Amino acid sequence: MLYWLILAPILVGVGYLTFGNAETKKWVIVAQTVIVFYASYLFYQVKNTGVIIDNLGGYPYPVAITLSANNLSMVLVWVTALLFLGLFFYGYATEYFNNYTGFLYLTLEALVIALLFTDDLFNIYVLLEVSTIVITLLLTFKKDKQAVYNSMMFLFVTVVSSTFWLFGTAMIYRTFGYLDMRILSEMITQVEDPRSLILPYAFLLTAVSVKIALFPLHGWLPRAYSTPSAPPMVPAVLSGIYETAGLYLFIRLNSMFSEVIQINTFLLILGFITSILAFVKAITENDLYTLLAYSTISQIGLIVIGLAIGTEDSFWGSIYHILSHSLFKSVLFLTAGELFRQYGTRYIPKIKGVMKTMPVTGFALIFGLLGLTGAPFFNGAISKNMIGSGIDSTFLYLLLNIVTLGTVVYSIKLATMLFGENKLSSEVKEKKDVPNLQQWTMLVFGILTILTGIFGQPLMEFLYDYSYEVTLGSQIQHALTYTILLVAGFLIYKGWRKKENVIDRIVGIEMSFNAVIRSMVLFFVAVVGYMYWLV
Amino acid sequence: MRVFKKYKFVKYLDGALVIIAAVAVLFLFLNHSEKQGTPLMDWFINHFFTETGSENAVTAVYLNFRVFDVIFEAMMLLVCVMEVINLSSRNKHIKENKLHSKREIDFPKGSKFLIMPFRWSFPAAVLLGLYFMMNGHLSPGGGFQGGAILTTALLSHYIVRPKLEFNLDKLEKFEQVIFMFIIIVPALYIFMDIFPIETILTNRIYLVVLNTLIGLKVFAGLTIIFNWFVFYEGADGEKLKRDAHEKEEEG
Repeated sequence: MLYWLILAPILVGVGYLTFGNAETKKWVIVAQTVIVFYASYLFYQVKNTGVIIDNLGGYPYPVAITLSANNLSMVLVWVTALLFLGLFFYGYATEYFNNYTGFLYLTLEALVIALLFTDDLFNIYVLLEVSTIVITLLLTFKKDKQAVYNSMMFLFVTVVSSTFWLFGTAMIYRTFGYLDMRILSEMITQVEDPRSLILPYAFLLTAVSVKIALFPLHGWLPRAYSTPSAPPMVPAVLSGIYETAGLYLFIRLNSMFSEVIQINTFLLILGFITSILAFVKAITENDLYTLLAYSTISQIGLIVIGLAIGTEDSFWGSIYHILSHSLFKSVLFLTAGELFRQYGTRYIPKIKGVMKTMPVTGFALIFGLLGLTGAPFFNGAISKNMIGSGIDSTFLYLLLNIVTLGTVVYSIKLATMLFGENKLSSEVKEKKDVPNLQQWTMLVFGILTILTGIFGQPLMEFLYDYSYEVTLGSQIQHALTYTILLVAGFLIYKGWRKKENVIDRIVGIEMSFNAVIRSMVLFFVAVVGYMYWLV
Repeated sequence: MRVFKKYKFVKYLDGALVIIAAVAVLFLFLNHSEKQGTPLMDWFINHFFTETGSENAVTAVYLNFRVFDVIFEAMMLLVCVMEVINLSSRNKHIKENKLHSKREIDFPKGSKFLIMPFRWSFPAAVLLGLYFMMNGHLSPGGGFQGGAILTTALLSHYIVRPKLEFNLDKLEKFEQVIFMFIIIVPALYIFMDIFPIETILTNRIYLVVLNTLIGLKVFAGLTIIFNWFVFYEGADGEKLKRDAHEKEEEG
């Protein structure tokens, strides 16, 4: 009965759109709670009885559209439902939540759950297309010119990437005659000429890489996230939930082709470039949302590194990092939204004294930052340790620590907002903020980052039946490394500020729409060329 | 990259890139591709009549075997209608001034030469649209095509007499309610198998019902988009915007 988890949010959303008003808003939260309970029930079923498979319509296995829930996808669906519940609590009292946007969020939830469950390649294409339009609608909440340009760029880039996915699907269908991913993973090995798989894989990989904003296809993400008028829930949903679906597609695509095609070295290099380039841009960035957007790209690069390394530890580390990233990135984006609402600006140097004016938001921000940098006891630490444990070469381990260092530097930049004197106009100062539903929701998310960190190993076993041994010695070693990186980051931050303009001019290249499309074609040609030489 | 815009050679670079990509794709496609058979297509062709009662294989595929995709396609139309209205710059003025209901354009009385053929074609088009909608399972056609034909029937009405008869708000609500049924009907009949016995008769009733629902939804969606563009986005839309501005300045 997996399809009810997909159809129910759509029905609730359309019902709310047609018949909803201010009084019926609470029913959306009630409906979402029911959805979370149903997802929990399904999760227990998957945990006890194994994979749940739904052949829609009752038709035989490779012919029907299949929805399948294994432990990976079920946990991601469960977390998606929980995150949406939290976001609905957050948005309940704001002006952003009317029947129009409520419908859009519920539909987006259904689409993401469908993307996580479905096994059918063409179904994924349809879901990608619809989610593109829904997100574009969410981005143009207030129609100022910059918002329209950013959302149009997102729309066209994503539509082009969906076309790549369609081409890949068509080629696979031509070669194998099936559209179901599970049977394709079995049939992949029966190909006589492995080079016939180059084109489908390149097409599909380009499409997914645009979605997860892998270098050089990341140009659309900072623009989409930092739309001036988008309410903070939108980038929170995008980076916490939509990217999760993209990463899961990335994992499935690579595992489908893994018997014949392995381009892990290529992906490892791209992951490192993504991470490093993104944190350099984040450090020089002064707009709050854009900084967090680059931080998202950097963390996604880290996840791709973990997937490309290939050992079991680093794989599960990446999976756990997807979860922790959803949590702490949502905290950070929602906090950013609160700061923007209170201070009226997104320019970081102007925002100061957060701990005094908005202590609840301040604590949520601290928790988010500690999770992001991988402080001991926070969830980021466990996933980063696991990713790092799979690396043999010292050079790569050094690079990984450089990525953590970069993360620390821009986190310190964000942390400077917490202290200092609030130098803004007196009206802003007097807007004494009483902690409300929004702030408490953020704090709950923040506390979850520390809980999923302390109880990380038991949680990992509970969710995935995977146990990761951590000795006390390695924990102390990691804590020491963290402290050293923290100090080094602080010193670098102080020194960086003097050279900021120079570095910004070198690195501050924003990609236009033409550049993103150009890079998509370049990426495609590069993947094709590399695989032709390899296979 | 902003720096590239200055240089003309970027155009040639882009052209070269496209040619390289096309050559690579064609080369790999022609030299290194395989066909291992068409099991999915064979199964559909052999089983579509017995499983779905439809004589049209395409209808069987999109209304029965892969109806899960069609639910999202219908949603696509719904959100595209919202997108068109949302991105229109007239939207704010119109919604505030409650001009959503009745509109009439200054249009010279249509020529008799234009009116006469439409007098005949309008009922024929309506009948044809309904026929395609309901007979999609027996002949080429279906909900999407029938809905589009119904819309063209309505367009011809507007060419003759451009007066907005429909309240677009109500039409939007109608479309949304129909969409809810488009989700519920396949969920009950196909996914949950709510009918204990499935005969050709019940299958065909299901096909007719779902085709009609889809047809009505497509009709509603396309009519909204068309009406929006004709009455609010055209040249006359400028006048509307000016009127709205004047009202704001007065009030």
